[in-house]
Amino acid sequence: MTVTALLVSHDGARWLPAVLEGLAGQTRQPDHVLAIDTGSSDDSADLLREALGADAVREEECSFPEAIARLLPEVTTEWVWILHDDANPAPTALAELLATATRHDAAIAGPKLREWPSLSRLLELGVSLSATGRRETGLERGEYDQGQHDKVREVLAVNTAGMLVRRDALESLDGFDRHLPLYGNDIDFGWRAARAGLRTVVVPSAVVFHAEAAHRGVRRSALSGRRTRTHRYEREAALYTLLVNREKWFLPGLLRLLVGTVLRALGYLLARQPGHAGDEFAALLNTLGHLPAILRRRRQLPAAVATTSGLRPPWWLPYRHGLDTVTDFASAVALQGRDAAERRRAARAERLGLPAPAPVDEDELADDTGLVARYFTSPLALAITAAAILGLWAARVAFGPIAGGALSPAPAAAGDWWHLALDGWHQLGQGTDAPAPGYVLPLALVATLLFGSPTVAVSVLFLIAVPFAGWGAWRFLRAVCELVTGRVDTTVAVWGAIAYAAVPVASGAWGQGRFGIVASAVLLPWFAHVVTGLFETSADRRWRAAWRGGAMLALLTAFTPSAWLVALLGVAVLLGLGFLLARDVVASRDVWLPLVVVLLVPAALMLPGAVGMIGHDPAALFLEAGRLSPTPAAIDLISGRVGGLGAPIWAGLLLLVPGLAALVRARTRVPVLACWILVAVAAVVAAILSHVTVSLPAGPVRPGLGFLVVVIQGALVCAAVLAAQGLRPKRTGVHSQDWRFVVGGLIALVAVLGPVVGLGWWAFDGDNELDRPPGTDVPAYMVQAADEGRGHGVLVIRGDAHKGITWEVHRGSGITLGEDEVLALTGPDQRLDRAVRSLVSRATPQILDTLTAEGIDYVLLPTPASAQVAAGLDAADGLTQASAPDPRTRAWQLEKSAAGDAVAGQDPWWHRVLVTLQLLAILVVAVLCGPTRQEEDA
Amino acid sequence: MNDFPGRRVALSNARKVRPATAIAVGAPAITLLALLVQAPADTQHDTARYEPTTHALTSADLFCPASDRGSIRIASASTSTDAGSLTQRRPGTSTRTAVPLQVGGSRTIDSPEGVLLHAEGGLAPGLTGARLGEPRPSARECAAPGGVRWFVGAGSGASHLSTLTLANPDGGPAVADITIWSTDGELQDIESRGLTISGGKVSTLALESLAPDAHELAVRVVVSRGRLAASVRDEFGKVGEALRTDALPAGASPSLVQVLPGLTRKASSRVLTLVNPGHSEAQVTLAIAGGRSTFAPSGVAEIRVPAGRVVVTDLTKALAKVTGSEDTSLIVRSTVPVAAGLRATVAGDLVHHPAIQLRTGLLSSVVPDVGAPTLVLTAGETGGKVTVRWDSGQETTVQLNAGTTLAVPAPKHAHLVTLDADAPVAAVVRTQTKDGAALLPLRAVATELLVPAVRPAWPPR
Repeated sequence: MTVTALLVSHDGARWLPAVLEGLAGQTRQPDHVLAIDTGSSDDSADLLREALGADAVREEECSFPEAIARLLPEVTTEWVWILHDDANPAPTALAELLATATRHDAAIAGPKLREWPSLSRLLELGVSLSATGRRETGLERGEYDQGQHDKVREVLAVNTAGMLVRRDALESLDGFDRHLPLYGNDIDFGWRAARAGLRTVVVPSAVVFHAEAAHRGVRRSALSGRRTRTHRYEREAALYTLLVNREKWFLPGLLRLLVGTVLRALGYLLARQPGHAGDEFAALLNTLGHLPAILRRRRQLPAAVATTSGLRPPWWLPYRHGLDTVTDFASAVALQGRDAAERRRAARAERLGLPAPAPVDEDELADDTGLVARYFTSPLALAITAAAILGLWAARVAFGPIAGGALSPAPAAAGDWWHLALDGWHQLGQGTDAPAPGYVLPLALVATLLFGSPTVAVSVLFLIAVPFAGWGAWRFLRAVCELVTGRVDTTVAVWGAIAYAAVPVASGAWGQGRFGIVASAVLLPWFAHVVTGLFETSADRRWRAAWRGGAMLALLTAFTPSAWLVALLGVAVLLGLGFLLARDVVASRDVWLPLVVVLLVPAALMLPGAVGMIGHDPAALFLEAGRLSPTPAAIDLISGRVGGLGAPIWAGLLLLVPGLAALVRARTRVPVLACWILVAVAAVVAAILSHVTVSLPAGPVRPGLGFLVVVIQGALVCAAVLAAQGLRPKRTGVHSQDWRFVVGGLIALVAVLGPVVGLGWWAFDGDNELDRPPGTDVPAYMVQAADEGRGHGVLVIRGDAHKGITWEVHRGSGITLGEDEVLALTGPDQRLDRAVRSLVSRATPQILDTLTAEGIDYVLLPTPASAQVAAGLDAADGLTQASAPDPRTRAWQLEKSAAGDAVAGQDPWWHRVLVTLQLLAILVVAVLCGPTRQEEDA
Repeated sequence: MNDFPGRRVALSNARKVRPATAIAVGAPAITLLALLVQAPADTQHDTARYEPTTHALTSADLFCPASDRGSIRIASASTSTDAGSLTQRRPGTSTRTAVPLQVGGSRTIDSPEGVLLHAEGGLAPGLTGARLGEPRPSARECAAPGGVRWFVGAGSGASHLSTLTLANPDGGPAVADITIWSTDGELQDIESRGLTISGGKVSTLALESLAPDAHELAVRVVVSRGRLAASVRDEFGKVGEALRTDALPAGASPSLVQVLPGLTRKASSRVLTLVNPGHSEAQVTLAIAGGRSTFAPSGVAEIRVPAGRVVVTDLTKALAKVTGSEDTSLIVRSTVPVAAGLRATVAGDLVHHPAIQLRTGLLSSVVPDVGAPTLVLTAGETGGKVTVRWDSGQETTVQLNAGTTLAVPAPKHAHLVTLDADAPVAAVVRTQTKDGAALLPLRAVATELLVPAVRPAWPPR
């Protein structure tokens, strides 16, 4: 039983002394030692010559398989022990290997590889290859060696570091595959050995410490030029090995590899490792390019004598890995790491030597009692439940389809919203290519997730408005109190949450169906919470906050465009102050660039809308979502009302009392001033915008000020909450007649009264317009005619000769949610306007032909119908009477039927480009918003 | 160094305003300022009134009823420079024949059947016509389509038969609702609603079929859909005598003052029919507008017309002396709006005097050839200048005093008379021979059309 040790070295001067020492210290010394240096640039060759003698060392510039092949003819012993320059054998390694190999009649024996330098973590105990080309060791990463894998097993292959192999086996298998110069040649060798019927065993009692230089990218070679490309070459090697050696199912295996590559690339993209994703595709393409060579090699190999499927991992293993990835990602998203406030709390506690406080989570209850008992004895849980039930009852009108006020009816199916968002040409009015508003895409997504029903999506928005606004405010207030003042007074934060939750409803936005303001009010505290992350110390977290903040600002802007203006001003003020006060901090790119990114992301995410608006009318940026609604007066703005019906104004003015009183307290003055600066900015923007009348093609429109109302209320609540931190009267040392106590009590009373009145008004007295859909004068059969094509429209004429006649075209089931803005940007068709003018004064057959060409099938005069117009239309040739449910409504049908595609048109080419870019941008931002992973793969 | 050894106190400038305080005062102040500057609330509803504009009338329709007596005279009182066109067709057919009518001229159409006339362009304003008969004077005006028409003095019974003719000049169907009042009140339970006349067709309705044996009636025709030209032919005769025929022209809608111009000097019978469609009783007094003033005839008591009823009063004796010496008109004054009509028998001929709406502006009518046609004008509460133009070229301007009646004889060969009145007047063309008399009211010349302002609805509903 003679053994020759073959030592292959390449730039291994770091580890060679230890390896040579280990080799010299073996209990069973090898009979011969041969070494080859494959073109090192350091002094490894000299080290080798020093230790082993000059005649034992060869020098040749070649790859590992070639090196072995070069040395093999000089081997005369029975066994060959292959060593790497970074594999240090334990003293008993060779002895154990030999003994076990001969005992088990194995042709190849491999040691237990342990990590070098830590010396106790397991690296490999035999290795295998799964059907998707993943190198399986069967071990967990960083597993400590506690003797749990100390059984001698037969495996598919062992690492070449420390491998003991019979010389005739090595010769019959023709050494290692030269196509695998650096990576993967061990598995390929072992697989070929298994196919030939040779047995490979792993010997846990033989230990070799391996530095894994090649894998870690620490070893440079001509092959792995850049350090980070190991992933690609490893993958290529794995694919090659799989394709060459699989006995059966070659073609299905190839297809599976294709699909698997795509999935793995997707997984890497989700993990924000686009480099690895690119590597996957590069490896696949390279392998496919070498397919002829692979097929040639397959033919070259001798037929398999034994089956290897028992040695390879089970078929379900790749799916299990996929599932693990997904759950990893999901749990990272769910946990999100701890937010800034808790980190600071923990850091402070650590600094002071206090025990780390458990994260305060109101849903987390003591572990030792039953769930039901815990629920019923927790006043907070009961209060939240009562509030939830009351809230649902107050919002009960939203349990069915709602429309009215600023809310147009929801379309019939989510597909309608997808078409509105993604199509370039809309069959509305006379056909238009005006852009759809930005909120249609998120609403379409929500509707698709909610059983494909837009009605449910709208109802859900209105049902969850108050609880989600309150929850968001609660989280934000707690975080900002912790960050700014270092303490959180829960009662005050609860008041703040309730006061803010009252804003969407007491302002009247909810009752008037102004869903844009409602959605903004709900999203604002969540956005503010994300924005606090922009003040973190870690650059990575700042960038994460920037992407998330940008995405949320895009959503906010989609619903209330003035949000972007406020954000623009806010960033400008912030950067301005920053450059004035702390230039060197702010001038760093990692500080000011995230702020700018927050502003740029909405433009990218709403690309077709933004570009389309510039093409049609940039002033459309000011359009408030939904139908036209009254604008607030100054008194409305400061008392948190949006104009039109709402809770009593005096209740809203009450919030000014704690807001102004917050300025008095000196300790919290600076953050309160920040809130008041925001109030002032919002008021100034509102004052400017209120004097602007935007002339859209369809008519004059006032900019929407709803978001500013919400911002002002939020800022006042925030100021009051910040100032009230730590203001609880202590039981001792304060007389009850102390004027400060009385004043504070009064302010608290006033502060509580405002939101209570607002919410009470909403719950008990609130009039709302949500059950008043806009006039459905159009008879059902005319609406049904549109099923055959939107070209079958109804011309609706209202008014009388003295006050003026107005006309509009009703297509399908009327204007649904999202279409108002498109029509506002379109403007009335001039040709049709002239035709209707002529129709009203004198209807000739030519005019009726024009109407038919413009896609109109019916003319409708709802009550009260103008007698003069009706008489004129009666007199016309080409109009026949049509029936209407209301006897005083007059209707006519044109004798010639319009074409179903009368208002159809081509999507403009640039729209498709923009939509594609938009979807890509959304994907990229979504990935960038993902949670920070614990470790990044090298 | 400082004055006090051992004491190191920074000399602070107590008057310097700290920036935090400045912002604490400034931010609410700026907010207040911004609120004061903010524009008031805007409901964003469009409450402006969009006034209509007037355009020249470019299309007119006329229906001349069928008769075996006389031919139709068509005249154009238009002053337009555009030549225009006029076509005629028989109801129920679609062939149109052109009628060569000049602007400002007249033309005769010989057709015993009813004729639907359609004028375009310059001939549309002021299109007027009547079927004129001879030797016994008879005149039945061609009716223009209208929304509401009142016929007071119709009847259905053995000795008083009225026939209502409704003509639809348009392509689509028209619907009329007919309301009839009799001496017993408004006739309910009669099938007089929703009478549909197809496009281009004429429907003749004997009132007897709707309301048999109701002697004295007032009829109101309301066109609810489409357009209809309504005209009534009345046949009346005393018991045992032959029935005499005359047109019953459409009268003015109920009002507090009704003017019935053109009373003949002599008449063997005059019967006034009054209808009160309202809900309270009317007290009616009569007056006569003579050449110099309006005066109440003696011996005529106040007439009471109960709500919803027709009242018939015989005025033969009361008016005999008064009308004999000059041309007069009857003025009916009431406390509550009523509609009036006078039925007279002149030399054995039936003559209906309708109540004519007092109007300013242009009025016109065709002038018959037979007899000595006279234009009789009556002014209302205000007097003024009236220019009378005859198509034979003469033109006179008369000053009409308030409440007086003036008669202007027609020149020979005049076929069309046009009035341009500055003050509200009611005028008729009366022609009389020894065999009878006929009356043609002057109707307003419609030259303009009110075109409403049309705009796209914003904000959309």
